[in-house]
Amino acid sequence: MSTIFMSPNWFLGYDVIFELFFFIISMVIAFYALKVYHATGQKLAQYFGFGFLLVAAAYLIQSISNYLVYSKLNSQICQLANLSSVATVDAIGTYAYMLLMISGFVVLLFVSLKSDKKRTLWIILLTSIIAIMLSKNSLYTFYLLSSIYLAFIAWHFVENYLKNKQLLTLTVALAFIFLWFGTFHFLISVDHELFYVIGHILSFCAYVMILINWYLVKK
Amino acid sequence: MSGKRDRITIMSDILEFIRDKNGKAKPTHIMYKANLSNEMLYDYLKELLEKKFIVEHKDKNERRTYSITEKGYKFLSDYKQMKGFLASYDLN
Repeated sequence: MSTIFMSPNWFLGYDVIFELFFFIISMVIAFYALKVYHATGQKLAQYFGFGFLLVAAAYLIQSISNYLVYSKLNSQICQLANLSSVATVDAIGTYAYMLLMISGFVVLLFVSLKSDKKRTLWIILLTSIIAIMLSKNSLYTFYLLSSIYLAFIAWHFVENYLKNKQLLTLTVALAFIFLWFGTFHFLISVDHELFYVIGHILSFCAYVMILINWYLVKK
Repeated sequence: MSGKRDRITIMSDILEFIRDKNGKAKPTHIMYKANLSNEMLYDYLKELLEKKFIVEHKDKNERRTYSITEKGYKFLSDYKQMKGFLASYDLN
């Protein structure tokens, strides 16, 4: 069930570092967006901040859960009695990760739709959560939904770049294209371990782009 | 666009105008440049004074001028960054 079981052995541990990096960048963006909201009263900035806060929380849970599962497997691999506790940590961590991340993506999708109807947000969120929870392969459904949502979000930012051709908008468009492409690789990594690594590298590229954008904004 | 944002935009417009006037401007000039009524102008100036973004000066004829403070410059810089952030993610 866990994302860690999709990873090749040599990549175990590195993914935790990647996820902590994604967590830090997401937190920075979330808090800055909320600061912008407090200063300007711009409602979309508030939603955007909450969206990234959920994404950051998801990465934190994922990295902690992966670390715990990895360390338990490492130290107690031969103790069958402990396998149930590993499975519990794995299940709780994975479900918390999926629910937080999909909620974050739904909020970001809602921001990109620029709808002023909160019902739009709730209907997408509820159907997504129900679909993930009732699915026979929750992780696969989660990555499938995430890929679809990120495709629409990336499309929105590409349109924003075409409307306003600046380095600032280009970095954001590229970041979400990388993020979408990375999530798509996680989707196919359910069957092929190497795509799990590629997914992390693409996500890393996405967050580097977000970091570059952050630098350009603050310059 | 929310009311609060309109207000912050007008405040930054006033500060930019004062900055571009070598950091010091008369209220009538600010009023025309910011396209505000007299009442609105003094409402904004009051807020800018309270936030210590500007300071008021009076000459011997009691004519007032306003100059931008370090805090005002810092606000303008922060506001420019926020506008860049909002534009990047299309949050306007």
